[in-house]
Amino acid sequence: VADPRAFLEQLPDDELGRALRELAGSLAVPVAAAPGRPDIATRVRARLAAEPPVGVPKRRWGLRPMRRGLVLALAALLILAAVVGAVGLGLPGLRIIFGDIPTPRPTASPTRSPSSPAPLGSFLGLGTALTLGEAERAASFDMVLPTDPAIGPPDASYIADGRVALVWASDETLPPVASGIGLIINEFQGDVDEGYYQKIVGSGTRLTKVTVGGSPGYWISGAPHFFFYVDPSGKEVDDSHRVVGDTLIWTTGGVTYRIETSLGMQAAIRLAESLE
Amino acid sequence: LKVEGRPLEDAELIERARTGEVMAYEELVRRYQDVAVRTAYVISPDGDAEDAVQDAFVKAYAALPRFRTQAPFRPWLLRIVANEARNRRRSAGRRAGLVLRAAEDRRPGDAAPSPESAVLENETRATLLSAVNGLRDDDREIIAARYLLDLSEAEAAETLGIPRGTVKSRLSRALARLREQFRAAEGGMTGG
Repeated sequence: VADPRAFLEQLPDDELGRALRELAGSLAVPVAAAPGRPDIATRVRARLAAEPPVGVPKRRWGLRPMRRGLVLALAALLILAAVVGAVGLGLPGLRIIFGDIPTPRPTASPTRSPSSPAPLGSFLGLGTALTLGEAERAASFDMVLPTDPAIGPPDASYIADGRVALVWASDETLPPVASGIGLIINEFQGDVDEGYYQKIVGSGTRLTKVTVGGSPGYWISGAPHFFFYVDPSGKEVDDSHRVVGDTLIWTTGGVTYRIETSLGMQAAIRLAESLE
Repeated sequence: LKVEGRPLEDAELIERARTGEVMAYEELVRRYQDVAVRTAYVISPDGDAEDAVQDAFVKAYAALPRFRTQAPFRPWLLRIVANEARNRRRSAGRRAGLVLRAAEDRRPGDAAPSPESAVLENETRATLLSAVNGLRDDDREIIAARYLLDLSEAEAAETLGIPRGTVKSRLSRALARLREQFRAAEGGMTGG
């Protein structure tokens, strides 16, 4: 085009409109969901959970609203988490962030035949329910299980994007961590350089550095907290947007394990070390 | 959500968000965050678009009780975003305006340029953009809504807070003034 101005000027409205639509694709628009950091929706949720606006009912989870300073600290940590990548607290891929817990994630009603009852813990959104054998075959690593006969095999197994979740009903051996649930063990291939967990921890949560069979880990206790996971491509995974209780988390042999239990730290570590 | 079957409708998420489920709201606004950032950017290119969208989403959450359930959610949300972006506009003299992203910045998923688009290479694109940047705010907004954001007439009207019946006439006036920009630039070239 010899003279772009003369060319553009003579275009009829519809062709000028088409040129403008095409121009839209070349604009330097900021990105809402950039890899390696929480997207806008996540940041908004964190802000709303921390500081619910007046007039909107706040879900009762027995938690006090955070103060403004803490909100700013949360925002700063979210940014920090994005910047520091997987350096953090020493566990490959684990980010720990302080914040208030949000309301539970909405779940669509699962479609299932009326004859089969829902597997234990299906309300937790842990993934697709499988038999234990199927879960073992589907996992990309060697799954481990508790060897204590009092605990026995899990009552339900789930898998979501390669992450395995094993669930036991509560009984006298396993005091409840959630309604009817006595123990949850998560196992997933942790990647040191890519992907990381972000853990938003309530302000009443304590973090204790522990050793599990010689591997570093954390015992996270006190106020409930929740997880979300960012996969290697930077996409936030619909994983465990759910409130969890006391948790032991550690990594060994490239696999990260998470145990949710009400047994206390020492028993949790013993249980962890008995897995094989 | 995806592991449990069907995606929830906007209306369901809105209902849940209204009862205080911030995660339902998160899911809802994630669907619109891309168009929201784009909207904030075309309305206030020099403002921090991400920041404007974040604040707008927080305000929209508080305004949810006033949302009419049967109405489409997207333009309602975009109107709040547009207002937030307008509040961040700089005075006209200090604006840089919309900018083109670097050619090598092609994002994954971007379509390869069509043969037609060869028409719009380089200088033409830059000329068109600087003409858009030279428009007054209301002209630039209507062009942005209909063409840069590709909103329908109804959505453009609601997003910009103008009567629907005026969209066509405003757009045609804005296009006429866009042509004047080309002419003014030509004149400037030959005369200066």
